[in-house]
Amino acid sequence: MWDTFIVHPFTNVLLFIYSITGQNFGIAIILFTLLIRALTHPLMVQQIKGSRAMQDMQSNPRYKEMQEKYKNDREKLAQEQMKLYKELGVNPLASCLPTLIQFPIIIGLYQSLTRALATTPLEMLDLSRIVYPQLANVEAMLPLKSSFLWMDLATPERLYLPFLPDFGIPVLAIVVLITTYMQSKLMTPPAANPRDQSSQISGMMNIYMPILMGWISLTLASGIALYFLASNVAGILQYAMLGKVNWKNLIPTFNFARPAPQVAPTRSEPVVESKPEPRKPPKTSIRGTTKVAQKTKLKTNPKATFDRGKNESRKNNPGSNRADS
Amino acid sequence: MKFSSRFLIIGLILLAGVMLSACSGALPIHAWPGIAADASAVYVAEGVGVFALNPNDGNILWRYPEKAENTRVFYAAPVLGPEGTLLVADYEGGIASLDAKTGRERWLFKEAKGRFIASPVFVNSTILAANSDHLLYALDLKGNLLWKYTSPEQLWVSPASDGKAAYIVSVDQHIYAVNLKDGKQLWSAKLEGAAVGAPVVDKTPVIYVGTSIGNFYALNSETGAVIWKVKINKGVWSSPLFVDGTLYVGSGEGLVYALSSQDGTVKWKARAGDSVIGSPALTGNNLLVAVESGELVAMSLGGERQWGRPVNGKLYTAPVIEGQKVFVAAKGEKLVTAFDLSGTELWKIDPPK
Repeated sequence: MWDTFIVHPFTNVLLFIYSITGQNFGIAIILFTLLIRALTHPLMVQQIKGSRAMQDMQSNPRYKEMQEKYKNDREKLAQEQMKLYKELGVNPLASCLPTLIQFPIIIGLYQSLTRALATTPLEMLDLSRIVYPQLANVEAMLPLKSSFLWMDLATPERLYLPFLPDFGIPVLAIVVLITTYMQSKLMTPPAANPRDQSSQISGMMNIYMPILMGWISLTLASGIALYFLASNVAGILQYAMLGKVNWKNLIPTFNFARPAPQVAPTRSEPVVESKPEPRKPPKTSIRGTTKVAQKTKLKTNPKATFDRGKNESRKNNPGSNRADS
Repeated sequence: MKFSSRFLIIGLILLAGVMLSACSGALPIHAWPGIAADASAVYVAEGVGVFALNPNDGNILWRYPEKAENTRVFYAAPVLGPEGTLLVADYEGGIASLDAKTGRERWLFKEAKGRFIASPVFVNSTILAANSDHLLYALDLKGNLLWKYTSPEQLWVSPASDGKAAYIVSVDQHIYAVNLKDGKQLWSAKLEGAAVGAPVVDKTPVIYVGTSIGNFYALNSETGAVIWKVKINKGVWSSPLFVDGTLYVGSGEGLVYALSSQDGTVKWKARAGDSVIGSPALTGNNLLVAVESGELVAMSLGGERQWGRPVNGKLYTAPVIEGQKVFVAAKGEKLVTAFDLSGTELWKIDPPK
């Protein structure tokens, strides 16, 4: 069932692209990834809208108040949250559903790639049996030529330089790691409260997911790594086209760039000035600075800073939230 | 709380990694087992080891390596050579020369960067081994590199040789002739479709090779020119069996073809089963054919079916005949099944752990 409706059609489309692009499997992978990305673009837009709505709602003073009020009664808190969702017309699943729909597509794409790579005679035999009769000319091209640039797409990629013949540099794995990091940083919406659990979780995902993807790229066939890379770049471009990319998100990790004493005065600025303006144009966003400031605050005097931050945000957030909603 | 959520996330990411690996086709290798036999043992390469089995009862005599190494897997059929040598080649680019009686390693060649999907071959005092890193390696009998030849694409198939040249097919759908002395290319010829079975060379001088989309060629071994070509439905996935001017060829359609080596004329064709991937084997006056769905079939040299015996698993490789016994290696429930020449089952074994 899964194979018939997902993997086999995907594999045949991939083989068809291979046949019309001069039998270059690297280009076929890239084009196939872009095609799937384009087809799932509406889902991604929905997902972004949904997560933005959720994020806006979390900045709502009523939401914060009920969190404080019912912090010891989770059931009541959930009920109140549902009421607020309904009142504001926010669907909490709006950002999850598109992701869930995309998930099988991504898995199918991944499986079709591994099928098409066919690195042994038995895998090639299996592949030849799922080629549609209409693509008889494609069957004659099997197994696919797996050379692309300096890589063999059927094996893990390593670049051997003339002056370093015994050490293969895993260029593709490194690039996948970097682009995964970039994508996750650029696409993570700014947290309403960086200290809450969900913000911490997404912060950790931003670190561990690139490492995981880099490791997979290091060990699996480079065709898979090429797909990861194409997918990452396409994701960043999609996000940029929607005007949602905030390049400053990449900067905060380098918080050693500013000496602590100088940060202190500016760190209060974002909080004080976080009226309506910061959210509107992404370019003028000061979210990154806020994160730096808050991190530094916690280092210097966590408790005092926390209390002050809470008071300040109570004072300032209403305006901000009204503007957002 | 903070720590527990951190561990939870790390755990979820690791789980996602494992699931991602599990759903890939790249980590688990799909390949058929390789088998060889002599009077003292049956040698089978399957996954993490090469196993020597007692031909009388299937008990394991020795295994190589003694302790399984997860990344070092063996599928190419072991090859018996001079002075009790058994060559085994792995998917990590290694060729080991073993003492066939004990399984003790004599030498290990580890220069290849890809997989040895097909078996090495002995040609006089030279070992030829084709690797998926695009290289054909020529070694002496002590495992020293003599030369290597680079083909444009991966090599999945064992080379053939007439003592003067090595003939090797690449997945780029070409056949290459390489000088056996220095590894220099002599000629190349385009094939329609990829050859998965090794070429067969006779002295006339002709090379016979079939491709996965069903073109079966006779080529001049000195020039690569096509002498004749025959179309076989559903492809040829193995080497032909060449006996007294007749080529016996299994097809993906399940038929066995008997072709005249002179002009490719079809002498007869007969159905063996659903699909024949491995080469036929000859025993006395019978052909033994391994049918993919799991049946060993005996046919007369005229194409009449004599008998058929079920096997637990799928058959992709040729039956191996040693003395009065026939051994088949299957992918599935039973790794090796032994029969006598009349088709009586003698023993069968599970894949060793």
